Amino acid sequence: MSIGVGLYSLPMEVIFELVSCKLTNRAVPSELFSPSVVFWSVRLPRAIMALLVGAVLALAGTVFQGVFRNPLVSPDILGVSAGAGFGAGLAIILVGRSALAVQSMAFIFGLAAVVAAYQIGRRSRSDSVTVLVLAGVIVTAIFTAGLSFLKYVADPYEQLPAIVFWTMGGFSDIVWKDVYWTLPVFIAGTAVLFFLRWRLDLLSLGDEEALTLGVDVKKMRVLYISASTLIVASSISTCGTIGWVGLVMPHMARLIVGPNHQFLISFASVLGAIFMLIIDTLARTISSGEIPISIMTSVIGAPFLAYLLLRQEESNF
Amino acid sequence: MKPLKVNSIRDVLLVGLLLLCFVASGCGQGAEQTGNEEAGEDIVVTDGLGREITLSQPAERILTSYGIATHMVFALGAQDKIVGYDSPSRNNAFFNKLMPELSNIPTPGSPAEFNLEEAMALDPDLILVPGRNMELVENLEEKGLTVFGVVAEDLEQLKDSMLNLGKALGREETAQEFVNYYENTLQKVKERTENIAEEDRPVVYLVGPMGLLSTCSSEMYQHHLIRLAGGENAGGELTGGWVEVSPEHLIEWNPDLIFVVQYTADTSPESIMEDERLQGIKAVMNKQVFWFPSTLNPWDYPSPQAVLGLYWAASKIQPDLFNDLDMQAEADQFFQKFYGKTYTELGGTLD
Repeated sequence: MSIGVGLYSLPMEVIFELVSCKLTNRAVPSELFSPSVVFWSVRLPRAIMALLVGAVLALAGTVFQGVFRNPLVSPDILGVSAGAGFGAGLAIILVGRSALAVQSMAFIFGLAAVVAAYQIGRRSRSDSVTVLVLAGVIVTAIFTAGLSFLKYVADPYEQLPAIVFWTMGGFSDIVWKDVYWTLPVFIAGTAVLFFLRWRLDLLSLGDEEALTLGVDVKKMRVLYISASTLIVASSISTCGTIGWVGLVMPHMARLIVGPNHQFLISFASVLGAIFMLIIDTLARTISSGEIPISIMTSVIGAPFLAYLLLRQEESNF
Repeated sequence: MKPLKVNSIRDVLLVGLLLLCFVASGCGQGAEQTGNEEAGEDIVVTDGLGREITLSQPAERILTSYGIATHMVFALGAQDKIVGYDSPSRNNAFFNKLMPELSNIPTPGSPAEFNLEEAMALDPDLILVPGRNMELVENLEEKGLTVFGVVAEDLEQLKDSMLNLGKALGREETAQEFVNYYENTLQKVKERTENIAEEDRPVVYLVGPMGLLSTCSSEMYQHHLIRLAGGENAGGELTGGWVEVSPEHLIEWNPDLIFVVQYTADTSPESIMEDERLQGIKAVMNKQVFWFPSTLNPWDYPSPQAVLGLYWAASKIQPDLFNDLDMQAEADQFFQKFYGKTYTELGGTLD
């Protein structure tokens, strides 16, 4: 459905015609050349990317909430997005616009951000769930300041637009190449998380209980966090920072299927994928230009966090 | 004037005091150099905000915190008066080629931030700031500094700014020459493009700073530039500054030409020509995808070299109407006139 609507009108029968051309290997009629480009090269990769990114963000959010036993965290709240943004900016200034450098720096600094937030939270004497969130606020502030500084020292004609361009993101410029590049990373990260999903239930019991059940808590935690951060950093490096999805989707999923991670992980991913596709479809159809996707997700996500904070004591963790 | 009679100690002291005032106010040298300004007669200019600024003599120590203002000072040939300039211009190869010693001059600010103490330590007698930053203008004025707010969002304002700035810097003649050149060019272009019917105007898509999918809305200078050059702006129905569009817009608009600004991110005419999504677009099929010059400084926004951008755009959009135009020669002439070196000499090219 999402593929059919948009600025350039593509009626269903045209899409059927295009798909059947592809399937039977017929040449596309010349009058359908533009619709064919819009369908195959613009809308389809974009829709697939939206589904993928929605799925991995929701997945990473679910894992973070399980690992930290905290319903208020998600990769962006713990500073992954800010860290990855800073890493990418640093790569652009130091190395240039090489995709590999940018992506790996984004990953390294994204990971550094979570570790920092976790360490700050762990060393605090207070045990409240909000401490970790505050630690995330601190780490985010530091990396945001770092990114602002990079923008300040960046060459205004060459590097600055590249940094801003990179941190803005969105789905509008997605082509197949982006899908091919991110898909292997998504699959690898997701596979790790998916096959280890049953242990998340053990981890979310708490460290001591998990230890007595024979789980190497430290190793598992590192594995979970790295895999989640990897897929988030990879998604950020193609679509920019998309907030709130990782926080809100796991909760919606939990409301529907309950806290068992066996089902929760898959369900949250599916939910995230659908949510992102709907949001992106809205973003490109509501107005004559493109509405930045993070505006749309924030409008929905931020009030949801407020709601969570208000009913925190009833949380089923 | 009656000659002063020096016949008592009191008179000697009085003359001494007068001389001291004269030197302290900095009149001596400046007035002699420019010659045509009579000492004691104030210079009154109007800045981009419509404020009147009074100078007792042409400014000799200027500080600019705005790239476009720095450009204006260079175009007026007054760069030797710069005591401080905007930090983003530090790496500008064009400025550095014209004035190698520029790198030794301090850069106390940029349009985004301004180091007041460093600026005051440089003791400027005129500070050029972006006119849109009212707060800074008022703040500096409170400190007793003389401030000129530069506003140049279109060619009219650019001409006004150049005239007034020329007067303030004692470069009135250059400023007048500059304005004449602009008026002639505008006249020439307008005569040829004004009456082109809407349906004969090629659709131009201008790739903005945020990559392929950012373009100029109808509220931007670039929109008027395209219109003036005889084209139609693809994004002309949109409002706002630089706007984000989707590839579907581009396919729907099907532009005849695509211009790519020099300061864009992750896009080039080559990447556009290879973009599989754009293969059906007229501009790509007819290979009408170009960098918007120049390789020295962008000509697509209202800086002193903008007039060359207008010429260039017109020659691309309406090649038949401007086939008499030799762009490189025109640029050489303009640069020689206002910068003392030709465009080619400075290493500028048009592709």
